[in-house]
Amino acid sequence: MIHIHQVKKDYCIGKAFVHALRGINLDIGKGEFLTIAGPSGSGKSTLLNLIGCLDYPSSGEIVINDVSIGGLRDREMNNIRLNTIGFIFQSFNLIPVLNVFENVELPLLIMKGVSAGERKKRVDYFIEAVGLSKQVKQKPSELSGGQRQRVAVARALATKPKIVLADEPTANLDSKTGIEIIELMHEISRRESTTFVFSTHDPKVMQRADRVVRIEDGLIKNGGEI
Amino acid sequence: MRLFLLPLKNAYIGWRRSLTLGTFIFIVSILLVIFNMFIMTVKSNMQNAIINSLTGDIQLRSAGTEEKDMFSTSGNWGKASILDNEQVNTIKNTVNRFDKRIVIYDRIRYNAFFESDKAKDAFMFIGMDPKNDQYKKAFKLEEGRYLEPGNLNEIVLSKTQAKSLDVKPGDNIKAYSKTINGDMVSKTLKVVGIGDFELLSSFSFSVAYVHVESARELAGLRSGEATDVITYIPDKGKTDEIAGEIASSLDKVKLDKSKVKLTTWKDMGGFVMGLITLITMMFYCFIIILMIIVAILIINLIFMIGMERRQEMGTLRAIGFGVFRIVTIFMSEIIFIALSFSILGVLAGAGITLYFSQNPILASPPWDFAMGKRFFFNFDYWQIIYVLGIVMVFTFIASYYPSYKAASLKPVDTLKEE
Repeated sequence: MIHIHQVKKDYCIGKAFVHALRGINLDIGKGEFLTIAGPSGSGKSTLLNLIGCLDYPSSGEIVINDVSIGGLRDREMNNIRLNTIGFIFQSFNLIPVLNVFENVELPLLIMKGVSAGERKKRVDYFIEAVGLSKQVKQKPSELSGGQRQRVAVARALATKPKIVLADEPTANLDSKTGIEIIELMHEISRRESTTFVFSTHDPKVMQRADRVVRIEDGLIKNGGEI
Repeated sequence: MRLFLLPLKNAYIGWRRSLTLGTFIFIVSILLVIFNMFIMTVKSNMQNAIINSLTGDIQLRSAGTEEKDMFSTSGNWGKASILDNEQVNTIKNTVNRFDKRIVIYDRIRYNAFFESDKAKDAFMFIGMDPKNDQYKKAFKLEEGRYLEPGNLNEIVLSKTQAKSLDVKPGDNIKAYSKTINGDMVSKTLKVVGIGDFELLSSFSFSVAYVHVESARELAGLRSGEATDVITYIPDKGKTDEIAGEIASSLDKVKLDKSKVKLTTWKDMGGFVMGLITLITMMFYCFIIILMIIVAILIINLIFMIGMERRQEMGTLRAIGFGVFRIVTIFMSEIIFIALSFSILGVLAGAGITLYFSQNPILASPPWDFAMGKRFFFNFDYWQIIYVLGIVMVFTFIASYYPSYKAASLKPVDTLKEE
């Protein structure tokens, strides 16, 4: 499903040259529930951004669903993000002016071949799956942190992606709610056979993952192979 | 379609910002409608004043004369500038054959020395057929009456001339002139009316009207001779076209450019219209400055929105929205605000101009020189669509670049700044 070979990513921050990833090799299979663990600044988010087609690697190869993303143009990257990948963010990243239903519906509005009826059906289904059927008309500002992250989960799943990427999805939640969100994601992963890749540095969250990949100073320390 | 919920909701939630932009758009729209209709009306009134009082729509003169002679009291009306009887008749017949609806008159412009019991002055007079009542539309009487067809020895004076000669309706004045043959002639004329050119008075253009036969006598012309032949055509939009066709018809009867000069009011009124163009340019400069302010406002606003919504844009990019789709969302918000307030603006502007098309604005100096004493707007529905189009095109241009710039940021950069 995801094949990462000798991926490096370098940044220039001012005059400083930062080696964020220094040769990552990682394979992730279909339906895996995998966590990337490591301290702050270890390169977790950079790796997720590259898998998520939000950025290009400096060198190396990333293959997602048999497509190498190295030479893709912006439009093709958009299509992969829309059709293959779902995102869940640490700060939820919901659109504040839209209600729960509209937030979940948003990516479906630009998807080809999804009728209005199908769209509504899917949105209702995933809102119910994350347990927010009673909050469909509410705006993000009227929801708790846990509820907001549930909306983000529903939005990420609405396009029926093959891969869901979550960058520290529990970081802004209390530990009980965080565990609930991870369990919800795990259950959906099993039910929908969706690959979940999420980053965390919370040991309680790591325990829920099928596989833990540890990353330090831009290199995988263990768990890189299936 | 549901995608446009986002810009609509953003415009609604950020109502303060929408209102700021909207207010500017509203002001620009209302001013554009009023200014455009004002300028259009002033131009049209001025054109009509020139046509009715002086030039007709198309004028045919002897080839020796210049356009500026139309406004001159020092014209040298020598032999070369006279159309003879045969030429006048050929012109009239040709024009009549061409289109029966074209009204055609022969006229005589000449200078004379006038003397009353108390004073004397020299000025230009126009000898015309009293049946030609077009001049009444431009020359507004303040005392007395206009010329009457049966009375040959009458004169209508401008206020300046009447003041200079210190006369009033009913008084007699004596006109002295040197004919084209060099003979001195004199004639007593009765002042029957005193008035003024409502829109041309500020151009120091002062003319008196007399019966065409009296003018012939003072200029020493034979029957049928004239200094010019003027025409009034029914469809003013076709002035140039008809002028061209009359010229080629005259060519065929051997009255070509070397004998007869054919000019439209546009050429003859060039001096007066030049000033109007200057005023128009001043108005448009004001509008352009206003539009630039709005453009800066729009650009700033979008840059601000872009900064505020970096995360939102990053999220949209992350979930698969392309740059142009985000540009569309951004611009939809601005265009929705602009369209709403522009519609309100043009409707308000249209309401005001419509009211003043029925109820006159009473203008006092110096405004009356361009507006006349009682100014009625010419209401034109097309101006509403025109202004709406201008504002929307302008908004589109002003909002595109900053929207594109904001949406083109790399998604990873916008998401990084959480």
